[in-house]
Amino acid sequence: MAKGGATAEFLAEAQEIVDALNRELIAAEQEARGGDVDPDRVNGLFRNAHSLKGISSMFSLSPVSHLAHELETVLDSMRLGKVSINADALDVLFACVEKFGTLIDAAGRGAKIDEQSIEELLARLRAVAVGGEEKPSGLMELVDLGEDVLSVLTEYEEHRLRENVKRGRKLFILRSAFDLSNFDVGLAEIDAAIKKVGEVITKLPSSKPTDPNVISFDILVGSDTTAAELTRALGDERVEVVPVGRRAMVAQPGERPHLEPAGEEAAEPDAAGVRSVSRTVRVDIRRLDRLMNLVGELGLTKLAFQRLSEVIRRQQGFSELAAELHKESRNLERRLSELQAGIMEVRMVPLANLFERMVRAARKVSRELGREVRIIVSGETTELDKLIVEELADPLMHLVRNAIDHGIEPPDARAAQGKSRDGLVRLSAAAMGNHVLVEVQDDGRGIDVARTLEVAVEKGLVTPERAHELNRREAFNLLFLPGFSTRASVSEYSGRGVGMDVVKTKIAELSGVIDVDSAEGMGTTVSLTLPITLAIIPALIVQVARHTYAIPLNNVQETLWLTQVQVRTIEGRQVLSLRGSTVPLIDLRHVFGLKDEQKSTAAYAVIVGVGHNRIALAVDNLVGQQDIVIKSLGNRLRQVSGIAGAAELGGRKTILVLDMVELLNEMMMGAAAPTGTG
Amino acid sequence: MTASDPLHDFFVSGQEQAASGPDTLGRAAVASAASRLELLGFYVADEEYAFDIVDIQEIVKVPEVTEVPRSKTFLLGIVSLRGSIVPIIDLRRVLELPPSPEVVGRRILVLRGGGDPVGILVDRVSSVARIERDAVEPVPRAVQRRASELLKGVGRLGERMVILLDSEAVLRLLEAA
Repeated sequence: MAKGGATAEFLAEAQEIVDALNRELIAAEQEARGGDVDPDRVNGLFRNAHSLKGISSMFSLSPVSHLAHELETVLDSMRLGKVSINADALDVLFACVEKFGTLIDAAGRGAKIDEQSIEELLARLRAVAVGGEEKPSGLMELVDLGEDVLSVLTEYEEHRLRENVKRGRKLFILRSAFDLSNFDVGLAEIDAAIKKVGEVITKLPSSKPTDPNVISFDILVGSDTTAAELTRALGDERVEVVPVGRRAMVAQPGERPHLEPAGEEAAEPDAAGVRSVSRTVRVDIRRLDRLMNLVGELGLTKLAFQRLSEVIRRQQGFSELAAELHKESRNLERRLSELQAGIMEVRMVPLANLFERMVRAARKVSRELGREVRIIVSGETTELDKLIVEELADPLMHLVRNAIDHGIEPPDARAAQGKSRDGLVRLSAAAMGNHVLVEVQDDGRGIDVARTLEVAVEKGLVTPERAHELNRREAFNLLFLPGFSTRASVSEYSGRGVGMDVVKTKIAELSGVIDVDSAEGMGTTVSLTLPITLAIIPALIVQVARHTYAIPLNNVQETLWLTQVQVRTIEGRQVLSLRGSTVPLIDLRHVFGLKDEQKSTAAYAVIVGVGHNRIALAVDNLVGQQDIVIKSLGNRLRQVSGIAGAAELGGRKTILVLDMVELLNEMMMGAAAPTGTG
Repeated sequence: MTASDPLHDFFVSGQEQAASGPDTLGRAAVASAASRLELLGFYVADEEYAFDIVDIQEIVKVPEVTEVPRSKTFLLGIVSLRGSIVPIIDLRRVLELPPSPEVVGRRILVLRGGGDPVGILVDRVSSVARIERDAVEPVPRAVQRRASELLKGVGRLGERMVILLDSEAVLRLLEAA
């Protein structure tokens, strides 16, 4: 199979459907615990399995289509109430979704497929379909609806009717009339209103002779409330609510327009599902990057116009022409920022998908390790740049696995400590201005500070003397040092830090910051502070030794005259006192080895904050504030530490963007590590 | 590269306006046979070097170069070429040639670099020349002293001796630790 654009498109769409299946399954699992699974949930699952079957057979990916077909069969039985939705069945369904993920991934890489495991899964699915079958009881004995109504119900509607009766719900007929031109809107309103107090079982067009421009429906509803309550919920007196009593005739026999196709034709919802998918456009993120670049260059053109308009104004005074040019360039500025915001918006995606993948993976890990884990997700609607979300998957996975593997104790151990048997892992996200805070929290055993220090000393990462001086936070930071721990040495005790240096590097690449907090026996929280985007950022432009640099404004806390503050030297390092706290002062002349004929002329300090840490950067000049498009230095220069990328200012000038996270890390590493290695 | 004037593509591109090639070069270019190499010759210090012309994307005047700290000494810095960042290598420093005063005809040869272009600072572009592949001789010992891994061979063009550089090897300079 050639990996053309269509295939990539298919794989992306298939993955989307699998994600949707997963989302529905997680919800279904929660509902199953609470008692009842929402029938719409099962319908959604069924529809998605059907779509997946459709597109995978179109692309002759037969393992996926076989599995999807079998899954669809089971789900169909579930929605018809023939098979019950219990924990065992859900496990099989989850296994299927996971398998889809692997298969699609394998198809993308052109890798071989494990046929054996698919056969096993198919067998498990068939077992669910057979094992869970329930005998339907006679419908006629349960309800007093006319044969003319009962005979037109689809199998699914019949099942829902039976369910409602079984639960002792009352049945009602809502007699309603709508204008022909927009009856679908009216029906949808009724659907929405009823959903809060009951369930719409079927909608039957009524054949009562009425106005030719009006269409009437008899809507069969099951509910625990009274007729009066229903009327109130509907908020529409024109709808007549008729309780279904004995011999209640629902509708006249005779013509029956096929608004609700029966049996096999019930495929209509699928068509709707496919339509809604095709309303979205999948775009290669690089195309957006290109657009973003263009916006950046338009921004430069705009600056040029503004300069010109300034020049004209200076030379000609306030001529009409100058005023107009000024006005139009302001107009251009506004439109440009709208365009920029628009492209930004396209790049933003909610974290929900990523979180779902984490939940799925966490389920798997906890099962493998024999832990009982409850996973709580919050803030999943928080949006982040698509690229950041993608890059976040690996480090986040690592943190979640760590939380379960090293944090959550085995059930018996937890019980012995008086904790609940199931551990809690909380995955949360929250927007904070230009940043997003993502947290992975567990209520496990926490980090053993003493042991952490011991290991760090053993590994020569810190001197014993220095280890004594470290506070908690600094001690936790040792976990991020490369070579702090390997799996072998960590699994012996309650450590963490498996590959934490890798996680930290990845987060730093995203201009993010990682922080750890932990209380022994209580649990651990790892927080990631990430910028919402890496594409366009406001920056402070500064000069040092006649070099111009940009500092991302989201790192800048304040700027000071160096004469305003007291600069002292502690152990050969310059620090300044800022409202009672000591902030290290770094000079880029030293850090970057900049040549400058004149002596240091640093006049300002830019106070930069990253996470909980602050440093001051000595600069000669503050040039101003400007939105910049950060560009990478290219694949060939990626390794310059302390430089996040380059940006263009007006007048063909290219400047470097400082990576404050990295510079601050260097500073901190220099302080935490023994002399000589820093 | 079958244009009637092989330099045309380069000199009219980018920031370069008029054809400023020093001599009337390669006017008679025809589709080059596989046995032939087309070389772009240039000077660094007083020595003439050349790249295979297919490795070159364009030739531009030297814009303001932004120095990159903590980088290799031969990395002059970066420039922005139509919106993308391109690193610039100072060939004089790579080849350990003596520094020379500001030269007027300085150019940057942009190597294609498989999608990640790299600029090479040279003193002056000399000519486009065709040479039979067989006519490329091994590098004489006298030249081998410096950066020999970058040298592909030597081509004779009448009186002139052109040192052929391996563009792949030049690109690899940036990768080496």
